[in-house]
Amino acid sequence: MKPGVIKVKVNPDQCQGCRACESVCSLFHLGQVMPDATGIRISEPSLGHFEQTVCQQCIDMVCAEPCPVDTISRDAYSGAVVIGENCIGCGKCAEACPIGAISMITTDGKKMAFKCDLCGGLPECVKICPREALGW
Amino acid sequence: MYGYVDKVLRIDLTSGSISNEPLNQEYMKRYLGGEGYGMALLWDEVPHDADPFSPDNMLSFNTGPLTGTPMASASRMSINFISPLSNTMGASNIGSHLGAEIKFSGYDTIIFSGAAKGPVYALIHNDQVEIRDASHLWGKDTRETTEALLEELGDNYKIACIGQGGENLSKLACIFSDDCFAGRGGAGAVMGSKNLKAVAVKGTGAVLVKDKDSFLAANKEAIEEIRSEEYTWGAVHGYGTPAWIGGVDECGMLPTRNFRENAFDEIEKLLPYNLWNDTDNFEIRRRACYSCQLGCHKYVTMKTETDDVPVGELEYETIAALGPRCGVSDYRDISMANYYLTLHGLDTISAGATVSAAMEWYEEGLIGKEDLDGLELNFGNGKAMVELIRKMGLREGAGDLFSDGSEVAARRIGKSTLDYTMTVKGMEISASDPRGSSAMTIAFGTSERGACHMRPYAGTIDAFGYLYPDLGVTEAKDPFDDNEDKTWLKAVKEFFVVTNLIGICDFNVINCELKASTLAKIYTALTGIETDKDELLRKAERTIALERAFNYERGFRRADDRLPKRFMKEAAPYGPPKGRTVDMETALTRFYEACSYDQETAIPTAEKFTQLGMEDISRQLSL
Repeated sequence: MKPGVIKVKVNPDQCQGCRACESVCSLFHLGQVMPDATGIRISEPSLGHFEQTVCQQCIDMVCAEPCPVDTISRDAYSGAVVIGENCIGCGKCAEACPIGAISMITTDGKKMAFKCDLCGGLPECVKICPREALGW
Repeated sequence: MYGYVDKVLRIDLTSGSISNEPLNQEYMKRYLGGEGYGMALLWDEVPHDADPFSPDNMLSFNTGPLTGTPMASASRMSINFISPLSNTMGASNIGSHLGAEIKFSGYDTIIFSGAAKGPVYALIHNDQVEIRDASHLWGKDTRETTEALLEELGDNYKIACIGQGGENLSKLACIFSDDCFAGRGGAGAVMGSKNLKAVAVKGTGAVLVKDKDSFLAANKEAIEEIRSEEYTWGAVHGYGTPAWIGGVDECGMLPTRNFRENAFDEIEKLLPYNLWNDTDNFEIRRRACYSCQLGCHKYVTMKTETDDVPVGELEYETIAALGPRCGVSDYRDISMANYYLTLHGLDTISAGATVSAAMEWYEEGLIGKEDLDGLELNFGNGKAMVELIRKMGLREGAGDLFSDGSEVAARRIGKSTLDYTMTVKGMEISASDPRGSSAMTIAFGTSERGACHMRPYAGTIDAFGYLYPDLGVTEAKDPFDDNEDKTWLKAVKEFFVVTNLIGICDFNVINCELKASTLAKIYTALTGIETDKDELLRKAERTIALERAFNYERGFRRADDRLPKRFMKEAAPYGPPKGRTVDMETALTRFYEACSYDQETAIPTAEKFTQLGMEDISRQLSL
């Protein structure tokens, strides 16, 4: 795993754990708020200390290697590693991701992989974060 | 449906039956949701003269359509019941991440009726709903209960529970969820009376949004409105609600020594930076409610020689009630008292106010050490305050006398104790001196659930000088004129109630930040139901009308909207309101006129009910 440079960057000390980022991510991509369908996830390993899990947009794209339909690629405009429409929901990319930044979700009865795609260039989570705990 | 998930969960604790039903569309159209939905349930399904502790009382958890969305502070839900403290309708609002989780689990509202034979908790995981034995949890405090359930169920559940206070039916008992509270009115005691120790929720469903692009655009406007208010986005975002304490003191509105005074001589010690910078003794972490921009919640840990005390959230109201109101200026004492109140699950406002009243009774010689297990309960004795508060939560020794609040204690003690009891409808007045604000005189007096500072918090406008052009407040109001036309206050009150219906926090509106017109745009984009500012306010007006009708049925009239006599007889000694008393009758008359209430019955006139489309309610009242 070789983390990329253009990605959602985090400042854990500033995070207040409100999960507005999760909420807006889900809504922006799927048109609905689903707690498990988010490209960024906030957890609280110890009280008042929050951890942010988000795709590192790796240079070596370790998630793309095991993809049986070869649908994970780098977006030419944003530089994000994106999952294409041919995703069959096998879950191999999620298994391959060393930091667990890919979720397997079901929308409209279809199982698919879901991850941060930088919202095409200007991440919604960065815009909504009230603490500037997220940047890019 | 969009916004709403269109499902109500019914759990009858007497029979053990569990069922679902769609959202009542009529309730939704009239009252929008949240507090209004819960109030409509009380009106239609609970005998209007029911004893708050009988199984007839209902406890409902009512989210709003916005709960669980990325709207700023879309965490809130209203818990509705008949209040054992005030004997009025009860509505207690709570944040944390619980309301959003209830939406994700697929429900707008969860109704608990009846009472279980022994201790139980409710487990809700999407469609899996169970009433489970909770004998192993009974007797545990709020933190122990939460930890035990997370251990049992997995740490991704959200838990609401009661502590020993709720189990012991203390009328000050609240419902605890992740260091947030449905604080006022005794919701925890109602939960205790139903033998319902806890509710555990986990959801993996969705909240649907009708028009994503419009929603996100309007939400950006809302966030901009909140972030562009300097005080909100400065001091309150930074320190949380304690940021208010200095300003309230300067305005001569900080209750001190049971309202004998209206400013605190030791205020310097309680200014929030002194707590935050005292890093040798305190560590403070931000922990926000779901989707909150403001993030007022701060978790305080106090370091002692032996161990770290998880104090929890120290709010403005808590600091004011346990500090100046009791003459206490040491954050260590305030923190210890808050710690016990959190563990046992008691409302910090009413508990602090009750100790404060007891301190005055003690100093006036109406009670003595023999009534207090030997405690010397003078104003300023922080250690005695902490010990009495610990005992109140457990009904231990002298604590029993005070654990149902100051008015119940005064009636038991007799003598002239009631003269020093600072309550309206049995509920202790919170931390604003009404002599400093005519608007707060009316807010405390006419609040449907007893003396509440959020229906509305309008001291911001008349005492602090804010304007709210979107609600028609375009010029400064006189805080000392009880004879002023109070039409403006009606609109502000309705907008505060709108936040309780729709599922957001009233800290979005307390400094006049969020526009009602922006919120209407968000609601329309979310649900696809066309609405505007006036219709939102009308839904709140209907909710308030129904609440007043319910109180009327329980015997409440104009006389119950009056403040304690102290505010009419004793002039404020300090600050801007120095020398001022409250002209209660004039203030009530003006406000009733603005709201089209009958001057004696204190409910809307028959014409007003008709205008609101609530003829059925006025018919039931035989108006």
